[in-house]
Amino acid sequence: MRRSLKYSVRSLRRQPFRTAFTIGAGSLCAMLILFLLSVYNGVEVGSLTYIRYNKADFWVLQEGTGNIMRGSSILLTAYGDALRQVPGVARVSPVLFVLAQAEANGRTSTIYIAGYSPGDTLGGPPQIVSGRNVEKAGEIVLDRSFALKSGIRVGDSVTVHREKLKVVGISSGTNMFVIQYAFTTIEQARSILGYPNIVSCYLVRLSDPQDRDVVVMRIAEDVPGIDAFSQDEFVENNLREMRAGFLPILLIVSAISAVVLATILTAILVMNIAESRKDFAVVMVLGSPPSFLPKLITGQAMLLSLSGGIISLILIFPVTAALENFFPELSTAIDALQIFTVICMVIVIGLVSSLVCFQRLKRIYPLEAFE
Amino acid sequence: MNPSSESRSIILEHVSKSYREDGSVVHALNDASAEFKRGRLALVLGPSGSGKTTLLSLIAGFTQPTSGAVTVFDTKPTDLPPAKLQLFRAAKIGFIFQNFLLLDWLTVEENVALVAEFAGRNSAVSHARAALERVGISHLAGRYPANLSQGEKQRAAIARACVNNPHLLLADEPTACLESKQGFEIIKILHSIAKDENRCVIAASHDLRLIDYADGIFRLEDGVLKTSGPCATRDSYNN
Repeated sequence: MRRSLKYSVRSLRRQPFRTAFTIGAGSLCAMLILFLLSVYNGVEVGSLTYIRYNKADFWVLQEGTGNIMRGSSILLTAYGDALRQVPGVARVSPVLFVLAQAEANGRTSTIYIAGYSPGDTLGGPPQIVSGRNVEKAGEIVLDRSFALKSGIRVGDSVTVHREKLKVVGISSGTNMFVIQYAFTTIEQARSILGYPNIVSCYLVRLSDPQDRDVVVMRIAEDVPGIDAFSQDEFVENNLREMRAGFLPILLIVSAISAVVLATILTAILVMNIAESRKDFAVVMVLGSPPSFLPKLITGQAMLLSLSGGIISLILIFPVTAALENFFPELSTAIDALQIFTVICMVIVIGLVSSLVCFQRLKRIYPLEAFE
Repeated sequence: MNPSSESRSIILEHVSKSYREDGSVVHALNDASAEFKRGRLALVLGPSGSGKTTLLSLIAGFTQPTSGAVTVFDTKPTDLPPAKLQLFRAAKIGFIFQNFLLLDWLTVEENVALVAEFAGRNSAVSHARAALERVGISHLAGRYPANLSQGEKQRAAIARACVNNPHLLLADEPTACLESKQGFEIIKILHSIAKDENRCVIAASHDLRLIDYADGIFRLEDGVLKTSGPCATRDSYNN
C-alpha cells in the first residue's frame, strides 16, 4: 500500500496545477459541508440551551402542543393555580413566549420574547454575559448576537410594540440563528401581547422527582386540557421540530456538495487516466500485478479527497470565526463527530470515484504500448 | 520448475493470428513455426505492418493465437491466469520499446525498480542500481527521463528490461529512434546481453545493422515468417 501511495503521489505531481485545483475544489466542498454541520450544531445549541438550562421536572403546555419552537401553546393562569393544587408539585413557574418586533438604532428585527417571573428560578436566560437579569417590568435582556447585530449595549433602549424597554443584560446560548431569544418579566410580555392572564407553558418542579409517574397521572386526572413532558421528552420534541425545519435543507445542500466533489474528483481521475493511457499500457506490458493500476488510482483519489478534507478542517475554524464576525447572528459549533463525519465522507467519495474509474482502466490494453 | 531442467527455447508451432478489421479478416501471422534459443540474438526483419509486433505480442502472451501454440520456456503464457501471467512477464520477459516508453513521472532508478517490484523482488532499488550500472548510466539514476538523451533513454529502457534477469528479451524496433552511433551501441549491448548473459533476445526491426550481430534472422512478409538462416549477413539478406 505504501508503494502504491508513492506511485500515486508521483503520478499526481506530473500535473501540479490540476492536482492543486482538485484539492482546492475538494476542500471547498468539504468546508461547505462542515460549515453547514457547524451551523446546524450552532442552531441546536442556541435553540435548546434555554430548555436544557431550565431543568424542570415537567414542561406543561396546552394539549396537542409538544414544543416551543413551532407550536403556540396558550394557557390561562387558572391552569397554574390548578397545577399548584396537585399533590407532589412544589413549584410552578409560568413562561409566556411572544414573537415581537423590536426597534433599535433605526433597525427593526423580530425577537422571541420569553416572559418569566424574575422571582422564580426557572424560565430565565441560561447565561448573562453582560449586565444583569431583568428585575421588573420595563426591562429586557437581549441575546448577544442580536445586540451585536443591532449595535445595542447594556443601558440602551429598544422599542417593542410601542413600549420602550431598557436593556439591562446580554445573554448567550439564546441564538436560534433565524431568531433570537429576549427575556423580560411575564407582566411585560403580557402587556406587549395585549392579553392578561395567559401563559405559554408552566415549568413544574416536584417535591420529590421520584414521584414523577404518580404526579403525571394526578395531573392528567385533575387538570384536563394540558400535556406534561419530562425534561428529556421536551428537549427531544424541540430537537425534532428544529431538525424538521433545518435538516432537509442541510442534507440537500450537503448532498449537492458531495456530488459536486465526487464529480470533480471522478472527472480529474478520468482525465488523468486518459492522459496516462500509454503509460498504463506500458506498465501492464512490464508485468504489473492486476491490482497495481486500481491501487494507483485509488491512491490518487484518496490523496486528492483526503487532502481536500484536511485543508477544509484547517480552514474551517478561521473561516467560521470571520463569518461570525461579519454576521453576528450566525452561530457555529464544530465538534469531533462532525470532523469524523466529513473525513468519512471524503473517504467514501474518494473510494466511489476510484471505483467509477476502474471501468476506464479495464478498457486499456497492453498492446497499446506497441502502437 | 527447476531452472536447470527448463527448456531453453521459445517455440512457435504453426502459429496463425487473424483478426477482423472493417469487416474483413486480416491474417497478421500465417502458420509461423520457429525456435528462438537462449544465448542468441534473433532478428525479425520486415516492413511496417508485416506482423512483427503481432509476433512479439503472441510470444509475450498478450494475444491468443488463432491456431497453433506458443511455448516460452515450457510455459504456454496464454494458459496462465492473469495474475500469474503478469508475474511470468515481469520475471521472465524483458521489454524494450521503440520509443523507450519510460514513465516520465518516475526517475530512471524508479522506472527500473518498478519492474523489480512487479517481479516481487526484495531490495528493488539495489537491483535497479545494479542494472543501471551494467548499462553504464548509474550516474543518471536520479534524473527524470525528460532530462536524458535518446541514447541514455534507451540504455535506461534496457536496464529496466534486464533488471529481473529475464531469460527472454523482446525488443520492438530498439534502434528506430536513435542516431547511428547510439543505435550501434545499443545493438552491441543487446548482442552482449544475449551472449554474455545467456539470454534469448528477439529484436523486431528493419535496421539492417543488426544483421551483423544476429545469430538468427527471420523475415516477416505479409504475415509469413521465413528463416534467413543463422549466419545470414547484411549482403546475403539484401540479395
